[in-house]
Amino acid sequence: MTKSENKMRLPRIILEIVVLLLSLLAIGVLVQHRMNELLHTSLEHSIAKTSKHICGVVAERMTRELAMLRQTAESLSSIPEEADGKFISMQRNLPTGVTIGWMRLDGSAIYGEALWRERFSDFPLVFRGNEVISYRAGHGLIFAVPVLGHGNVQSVIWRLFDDTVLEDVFGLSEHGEAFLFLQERNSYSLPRDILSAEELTFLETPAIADGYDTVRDQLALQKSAAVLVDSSLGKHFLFGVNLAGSECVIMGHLPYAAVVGDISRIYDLLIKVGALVLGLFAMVSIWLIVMHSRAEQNEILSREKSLHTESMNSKSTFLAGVSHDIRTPINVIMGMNEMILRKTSDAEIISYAHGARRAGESLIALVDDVFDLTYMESSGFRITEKPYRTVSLISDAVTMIKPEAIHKGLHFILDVDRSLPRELVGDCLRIQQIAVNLLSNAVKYTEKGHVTFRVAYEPLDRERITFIIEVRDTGIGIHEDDRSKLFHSFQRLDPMKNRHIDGTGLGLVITSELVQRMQGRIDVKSVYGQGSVFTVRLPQKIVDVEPIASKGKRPPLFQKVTGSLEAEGAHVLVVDDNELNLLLTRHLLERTKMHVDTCLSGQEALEKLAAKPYDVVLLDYMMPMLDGAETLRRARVLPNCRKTPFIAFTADATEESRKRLLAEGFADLLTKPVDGAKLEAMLARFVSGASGRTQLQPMHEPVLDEVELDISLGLDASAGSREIYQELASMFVKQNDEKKRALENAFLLKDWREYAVLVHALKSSAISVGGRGLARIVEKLENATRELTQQNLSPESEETFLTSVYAHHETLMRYCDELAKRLTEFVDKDPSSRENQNPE
Amino acid sequence: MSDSRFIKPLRWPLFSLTAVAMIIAILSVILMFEAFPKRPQPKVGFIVLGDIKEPGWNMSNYQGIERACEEFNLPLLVRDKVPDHGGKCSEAIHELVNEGCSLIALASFGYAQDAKQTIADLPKVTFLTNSAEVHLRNLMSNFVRMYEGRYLTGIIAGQQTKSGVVGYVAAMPNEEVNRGLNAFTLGVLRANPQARVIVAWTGSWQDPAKETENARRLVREKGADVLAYHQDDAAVPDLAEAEGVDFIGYNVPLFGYSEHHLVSILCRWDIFYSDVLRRFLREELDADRISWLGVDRGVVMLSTYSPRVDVETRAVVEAARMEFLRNEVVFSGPLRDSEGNVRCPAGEVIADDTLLKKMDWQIEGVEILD
Repeated sequence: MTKSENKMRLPRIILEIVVLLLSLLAIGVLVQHRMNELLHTSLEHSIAKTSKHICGVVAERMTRELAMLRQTAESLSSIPEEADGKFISMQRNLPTGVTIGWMRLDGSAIYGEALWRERFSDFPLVFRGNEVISYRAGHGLIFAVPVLGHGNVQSVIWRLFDDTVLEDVFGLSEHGEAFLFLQERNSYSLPRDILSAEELTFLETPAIADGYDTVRDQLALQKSAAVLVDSSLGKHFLFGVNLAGSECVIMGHLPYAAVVGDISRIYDLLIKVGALVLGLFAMVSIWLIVMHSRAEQNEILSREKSLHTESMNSKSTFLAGVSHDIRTPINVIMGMNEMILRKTSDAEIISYAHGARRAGESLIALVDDVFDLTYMESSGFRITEKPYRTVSLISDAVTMIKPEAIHKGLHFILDVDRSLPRELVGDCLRIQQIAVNLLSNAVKYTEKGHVTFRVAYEPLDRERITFIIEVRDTGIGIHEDDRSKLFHSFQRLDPMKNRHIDGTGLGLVITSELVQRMQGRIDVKSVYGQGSVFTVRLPQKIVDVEPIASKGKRPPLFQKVTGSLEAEGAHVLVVDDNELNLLLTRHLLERTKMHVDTCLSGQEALEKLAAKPYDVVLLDYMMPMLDGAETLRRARVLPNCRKTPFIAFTADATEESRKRLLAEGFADLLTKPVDGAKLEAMLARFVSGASGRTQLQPMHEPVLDEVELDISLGLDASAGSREIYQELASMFVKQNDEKKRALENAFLLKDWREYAVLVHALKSSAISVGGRGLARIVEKLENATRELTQQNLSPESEETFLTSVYAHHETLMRYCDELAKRLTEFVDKDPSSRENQNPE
Repeated sequence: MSDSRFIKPLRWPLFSLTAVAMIIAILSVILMFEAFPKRPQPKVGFIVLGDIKEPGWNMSNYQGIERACEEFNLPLLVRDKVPDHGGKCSEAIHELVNEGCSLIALASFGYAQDAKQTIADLPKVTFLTNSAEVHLRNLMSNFVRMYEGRYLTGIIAGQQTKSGVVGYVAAMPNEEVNRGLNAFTLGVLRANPQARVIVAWTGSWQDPAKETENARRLVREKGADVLAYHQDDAAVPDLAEAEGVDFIGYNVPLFGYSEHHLVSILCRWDIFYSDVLRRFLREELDADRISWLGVDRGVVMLSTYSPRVDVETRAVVEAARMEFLRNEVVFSGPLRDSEGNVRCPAGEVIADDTLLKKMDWQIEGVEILD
């Protein structure tokens, strides 16, 4: 939802801003347009008004002209005797462009030109006794007055002004930049003779002509009119005014600039300021929109954050589920594999099973790493501090790593400060994890040489020490440049070179994260190609300051945690919804000789618990229907199991779930996949306490010890001299590869004679260094090959012996290596710690 | 947060609505802004003596101004049945002015005299009158050359009379009546130089009984076989129908009469008022310049003829009409009055002003019924 919102937001902001800008622009344009329109309308109005004044001036002059003519007419009629002379003198003094005439009513002239009555539109009115002013383009402006006698029209006098003189006589040219001309009302004819070409062009421009038509239309119903016309010749105001008392109009035009002039500059200023104000407004609005959307975004972010927190919790729940789901099948695989290892004696199958076990283990490690890392990133991760014994911490780590190192042919050197306080406070499991991570890394990246595990301390104050774990190897080392990448997720250095090394690359990340959580420090020193030293320093509180190696009664460093439990008669109930798990657990517990009951559901378990008392109950935590917690709660009510310890099987290995389980009443918990040793150790705690019928027995040396290195036998062979034994041992080690190569050659060439000689020699040297196992197998091979060298061997027996050789050759090779490793260890050992490492 | 989440869906629509409302407000302010308050539409007032539903002068006058007002989209306010004496006209004028009239047509001859002071007191209101006797700056005289129509019907009467006597019933011998009577007589004489026109005065614009009596006397006593009249009502046509003599109608349509109704003089008041209103709007009305429209402008016309008017007569009338269009005038010399005095020598024409104000005589050929 939030993502789509995010995607929606940007276009929305843009849309909002665009809409805003467009509306502002539209308003701006509209305001400007409206202002111009108003300006023009107002100018049109004012020009129309002004043109009335112009008309007034012109009309004034015309009235004067008419009055003069009227006077003449009166004088003509009052003294008829002098009329002729008077008129003739008038005629003589006429300015150019002006003519006068005196005519009878029938149209004949008394003096001057005989005018056709219809030449001017209003002219006939004078014959009815009315005074007339009339204009006709090309003919001029005529003033006519009747000569009256006794109320009757006797004759008519007129005065005609040519177009050419009109301008001057009536002041048509005296109005600034305005151009004025007379026109008959409702007529389009122009005084072409007097108009300049320029003026004619102007008046005949279509837009201008149309403009004058508009003026004419308006003049039909109003005194004066003006319009603004935008033509190819620029903007002009055209105007017209009706000339009262005659059928003519005064038309005119003015250039726009002449009228608007400075006003337009003021308007420009107003418009510019307006635009700026609008722009400012737009910016403020945009700012507001952006702020608004930012606030919205913050809100969404905080909502997302809280969702994230929620999801982290659900993530950890989810991880627990996934972890459980992955561990359960691995558990079964590992368990089945364990059964194969126990049940078979076939060396080949055993080696395959070993492979499977290693793969399973690394798969679990992988799941653990991933889970640890994600878990640490969640808020639920806590460092749980409680008292622990330093010795068991160290021994656990060594137990886990040492076999691996040895198996790889490395020297594993343990260097523990004997004055280390016996008991400290801290997260024992996490510190162990750190140590194991560092150690297993060292083993992984070291091809030969040694891995040294040093445990020391520095006093910090009275109550605290700095606990130092140092892992030193002779491995490939780390480039200077790569050191910064070391503690980053999924970084594997030198991937080409290290591709054969398994692991997620998460180990160091987890380690460094853990160290930081414990307020510690991790340092790396390394020389590429020579090895690395990882040093972890953790502040820890002291509980028991007593050194681990004091009072002579030192606790065995290598306690056999994998002790075999035998508790005949103890009753155990195992509850799990997975049948394979049940089968596996049952098999794992077989050799403890306990009485094991199994059932597939909580309900079934409750029935069994009600039927008989159990010493201990192993209960799967996650089951359908009745889960572990509910089953336990119900079981506690039963009389038989008020105090019966319940151990939870869970795939959820977090500290959090551990706490929860303990709070729910479980005695302890076992994480899946169930490991036989851990299971036995766990049961030992509860069963022994309950019945006292169990005893811890030393367990046989695990698989690695099949070479049965017997140092006393070796010492015997060296006449009790340790030096001689060491000498022999190192010689065995040195010659080992060479001998093996020779054997391999003989084997491949099927040179059984040679092979027999070689194994015979090997037999003696094996006995001299105390390698009983090797000696035994060598003996078998010696016998077999000796038979093969016989001349008359039946095909059947040949096959038998060959099979035997084939079956044992690989074992022999492995045994040689194992023995060499063990001896190397022995030889390299510091005499003081040698004892510690080999308590037997 | 829960608050803002609650408000959120509300906020944007609210904001946009406000914005839209503001934009609309801004636009309407811009568009509604009127820099120049519109000039109030001038209203036209009309005051008339009789009922505007009464056929004749009142109705034709009213219908004319109504149509002219429609042409220019001007509102018309009417006061009818207003007497032309006793200050009733002044009251009507005040009412109309209060209702916003800036042009008032006084459609009776006597109003100008009766409301003279009121008109003078309202210099911003323009008045129209058909009286030439009162002169005020805001009183505009506008006339119809009705006498031209009378001249044309006189020709018909002259052609039509067998007895050589044409009767003329008229209100009183004022300038307007005299103009009509004299023009009519000139028309009769043009068609029949031997004919006589006998006028009978009623002393009132509207007195049907007197008119009927006068008309009857003209027919029975004087032997008139064609009647014409100058009254506001139609009593004479009724009498003429009853007596079975021909008559000339005046402002009366032809309906309801027989073939004795030779023709009617009609006045196109709509053309008349249209011209007046146009000049009013152009601010050209001038008390010193009278406007006088006649046959040439189509204001005065004849109705369709009765079948009794023969083609020859019609041709003569048409010829006379064409003379008017050529700016010929009715009253051109030589003219004598009924006393034998020369009123207009040959080669002269009676001036319009004289026609309007000094036609206080009857022309040669007119006899007055005692």
